[in-house]
Amino acid sequence: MQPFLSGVAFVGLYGLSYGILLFIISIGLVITMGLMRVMNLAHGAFAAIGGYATIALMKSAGLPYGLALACAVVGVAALAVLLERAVFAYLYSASDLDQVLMTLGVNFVVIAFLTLVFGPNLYPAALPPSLRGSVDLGFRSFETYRLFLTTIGFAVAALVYFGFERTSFGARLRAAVDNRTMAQAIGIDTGRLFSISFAIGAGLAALGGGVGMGLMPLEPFYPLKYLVLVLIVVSLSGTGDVRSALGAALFVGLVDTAGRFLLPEVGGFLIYALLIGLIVWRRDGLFVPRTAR
Amino acid sequence: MSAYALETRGLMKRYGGLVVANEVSLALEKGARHALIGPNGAGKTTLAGLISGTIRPNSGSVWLFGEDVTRAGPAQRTKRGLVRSFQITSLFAKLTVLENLFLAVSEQRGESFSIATPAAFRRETLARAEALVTQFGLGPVANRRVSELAYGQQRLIEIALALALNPKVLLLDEPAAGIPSSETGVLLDAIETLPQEIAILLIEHDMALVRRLARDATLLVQGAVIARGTVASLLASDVVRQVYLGKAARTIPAHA
Amino acid sequence: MIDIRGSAALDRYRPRWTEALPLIAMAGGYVVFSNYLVFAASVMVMAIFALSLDLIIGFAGVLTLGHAVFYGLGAYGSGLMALAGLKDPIVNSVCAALLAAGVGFAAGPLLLRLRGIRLIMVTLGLAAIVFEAANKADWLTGGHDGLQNIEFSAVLGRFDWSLDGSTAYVYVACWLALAVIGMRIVISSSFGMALQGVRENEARMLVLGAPVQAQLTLAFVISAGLAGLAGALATETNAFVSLDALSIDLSIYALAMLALGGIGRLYGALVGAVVYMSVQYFTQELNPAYWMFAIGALLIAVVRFGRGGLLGSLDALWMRLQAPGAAR
Repeated sequence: MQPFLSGVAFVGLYGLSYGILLFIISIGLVITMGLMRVMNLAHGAFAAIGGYATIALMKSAGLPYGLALACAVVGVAALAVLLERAVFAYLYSASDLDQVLMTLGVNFVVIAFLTLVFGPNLYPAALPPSLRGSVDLGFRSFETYRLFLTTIGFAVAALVYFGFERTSFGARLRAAVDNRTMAQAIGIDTGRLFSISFAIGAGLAALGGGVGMGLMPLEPFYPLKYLVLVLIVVSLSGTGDVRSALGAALFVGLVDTAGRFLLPEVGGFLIYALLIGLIVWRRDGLFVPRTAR
Repeated sequence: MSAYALETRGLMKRYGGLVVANEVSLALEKGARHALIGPNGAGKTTLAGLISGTIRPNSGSVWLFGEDVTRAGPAQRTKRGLVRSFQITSLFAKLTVLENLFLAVSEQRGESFSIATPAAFRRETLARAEALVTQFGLGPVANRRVSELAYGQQRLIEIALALALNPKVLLLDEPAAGIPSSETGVLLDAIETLPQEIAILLIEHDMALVRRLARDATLLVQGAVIARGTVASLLASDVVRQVYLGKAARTIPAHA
Repeated sequence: MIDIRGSAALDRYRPRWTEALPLIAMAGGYVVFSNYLVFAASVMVMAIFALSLDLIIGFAGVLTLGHAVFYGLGAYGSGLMALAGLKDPIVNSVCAALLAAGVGFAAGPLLLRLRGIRLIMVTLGLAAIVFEAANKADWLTGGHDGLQNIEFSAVLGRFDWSLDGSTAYVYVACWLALAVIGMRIVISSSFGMALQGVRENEARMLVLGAPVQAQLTLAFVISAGLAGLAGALATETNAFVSLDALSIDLSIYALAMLALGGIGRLYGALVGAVVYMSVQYFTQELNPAYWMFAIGALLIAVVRFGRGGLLGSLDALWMRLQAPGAAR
C-alpha cells in the first residue's frame, strides 16, 4: 500500500500546487473575460514579465527574492494600468477578430522585447537557497519549493476568494460580471471597476510568474507557450467567478500531474485531448449546471 | 379541418413561478390583419417567440395551415411560411441593402450551396431582390452598406427581409419601434400595401398604428387574453380603457 | 420606379476584366524576378495558405488559430507519399489536399459547434497536440530534423526540378492561379454571400432557414484542402519538410499577412503575403526578434487604426479622391 499512498500523495500535492499556480495566473483573465468580454490572449505576458522582472531585480539591484517579487508585482500592475489606457480600452467594443489580432500583437511585442533583453533561451530560475532542497514529511519527501508554492498559492487564493466574495468591491465586481448594464444602471462605475480588477489580475499573474518559475520556467515565448493552458482554465471556468475558476484550475493541475505521472510518455497530451473534449462537450463550463431551456 | 392560417391553442409558458403566457389561444384566417395589443410586459414578445418557434411552450400547440408545428424549430417554420420580423433590427451590417435582400431570397429559393454561378447571374433571385428594393423605395441606397443607413430605413429593410422569404403568415414585432412618428409614413405605407393573401399578426402598443393597420385585435394582459374583437369595438370598449388607464383617454378618441 | 439594373447591381459578384491583372503579374514576375525564383515560389505558396485562411476567417468569420495543422498535414502527407513512391507532383499535391480536406471534414462538425474563445482555445490546443505528436513520432516525421531529400519526378513528365527554381515558379504559379480563380468563384457565388451572412449575423441566417452548420463545414473543408495544397507545394519545391509546417507560429504569421493586406478580401491575402514575405526576406540579416516586434506592432496598429490593411487604406484613399467633400 505504501507506494500507492505515496503516489497519491505525490499527485495530490504536486497537482494541487500546479493547479493553484494556474489559478493565480489565470484568475485575472477569467475576470477580464467575464466582466468586459475581452479576449486578452496576451494575459500570459504579465506572468512572464513578472517572473523576468523578479530575476532582474534580484540580479541587478541585489534585492532579496521576496522584495524583488513584491516590486515586480506592483510594477506589472502599474504597467497594466498604462496598457489598459493605451491598448485594451479600445477592445471593449471590438469584434472577436480584432481582439485576437491586437492581443496577439501585444504578445509578439512582449516576446520580442524579452528576447532582446534576456536572450532567447530558458532562463535559469534564481530561487533563493532557502527554497532549494527537500523536506521529509514522513511518508514521502517533497521539494521545499513545492511546499512553498502550495502554501503561498493557497494563501493568495484565499485572499482573492475573500476579496471577491466578502468585500463590497467584490460584490460590485460580481454584480457587474453577472449583468453589466444592470450594474451600471444602479450606479456602479464599471469602467473603473474593470481598470482596478484588470490591474489586480495582472499583478496576480505576475506573482504567479515570479513564484512559479521553478515549475513554469521562464523563456521569451512563455506567453504563447502557456496560453493554451490558461485558456483551458478560463474555458472550464464558465461564468467568470472565482469559485468555478478555482475548481477548474485545481482540476487541470491535478489531471495534468496525474496524467504525466501515470503515463509518462503520452500523459502530457492525453490531458490536452481530455480537456479539449470536455470543452467541446460542456460548452458552458465545468462547474456550471446545465440550465434547462 | 382548420381553415386558419395561424392558430395557437392554449399556449402556456412559465419561467419558474412566473407565468408569461397563460392559455393563449388565437386564430388568424388567411389574409388577416390582426393586432396583438397590450401594455409593456404583457408577454407579447414571448408570445411572438412561442409562435415563431424560438421559445418552447410548457403546454399548448401552434398550428400552421392545419399542421401542428409545435415541435418544429424556427427555421422549419420559416420554410412552412411563417416569417417574423424583429423589434430590434437584426440585419447583415456590412453587406449592402441589395445583398441583404438577395441573401434572404437566395435562402428561400434553396440556393444555399450554389457555388458555380456568380450571384449576379442568378437572374430570378436578383430580380426578386431588386423588386423588393423598389417596392420599399430603397433604390437610391441599394448599394450602400446597411450599417450606414438611417434607422428608419433599416426598419424598412427588416420588413423587406421578412417579405423576401415568401411568407404566408407574417409576424411583425413592433415594426415602427424607435422611429419618430414623423418618419413612419413610408413604413406604414409599405405595410398597408403588403399582399392581401398574407395573414399578418402585428404586435404593437401604439394605438394609432393599430387603428390604421389592423382590422381585428387581441388584448393581452399579463400573458392572458383579456379581450378580442374588431379594432373599432375594442378601442371603444371600457376594458381597453381600463388597461391603458390614462393613456387611453388621451390617445383613443371615443367615436361611433 | 428606380431602375437599379446595370453594372452597379451586385458588382462584386460578377467576373471583371481587372481580375486578370494578378494573373498577368504572376506571369510577368517570372521575368522580373528571375534571380529570386525560388523565393518567389515560396511567397506564392504562402499566398495560397493565406487565401485558405482568408476564406475561413475573413469570409466565414470562423476564428481558428490552428490552421497550420492542415498545412502541415499537406506538407507531411506529400513528403511521406513521395517517399512511399507517389512521386508525380501533381497527383501528389491533389492527394495531399484531399487528405487535408478529409481531416477538415471529420473535424469540422465538432469544431464548428464552438464559437469565440472556446473555438480559439480548442484550435490552439489541437494544434499544440498535433505538433507534439509529430515531434514525438520521429520515426514517421523525422522529428526535429524533418524529412529530407524528398524526390519528386518531373512535372507533367517533362519539366525537371531545376536549381534556379524556374520549374518551381511556374508550377506553383499555375496552382496559385487555379486557387485564386477557385476562390473567386466561391466568394462571388450565393454560397459565398451566405458565408458572409453567417459572419455578420449568424442568428439571422438561422432564422432565414439557412443550413448554417453545413455551410460552415463546406467552407472549412475547402479551406482545409487549400491549406493542405499549400503545404504539399512547399514540400515539393523544397524537397524537405519539417515541424515548422505544423507550428502555431505559422498560423499567426499567416493571420498577420491577412491583417496587413486586408482581411476578408481576396486580394488582401495575396498582397499581404507578398509584402510580408518580401519585407521579411530583405530584413533577414537582422535579429529575428526585431521582426517579431515589427509584426506585433503592425497587428496592434492595424486594429487600432482600423483601415482594413493595405487594400482597405487604398480603398479609403480612393473614396476620398473620388468625392472630396461631396454630399451624398
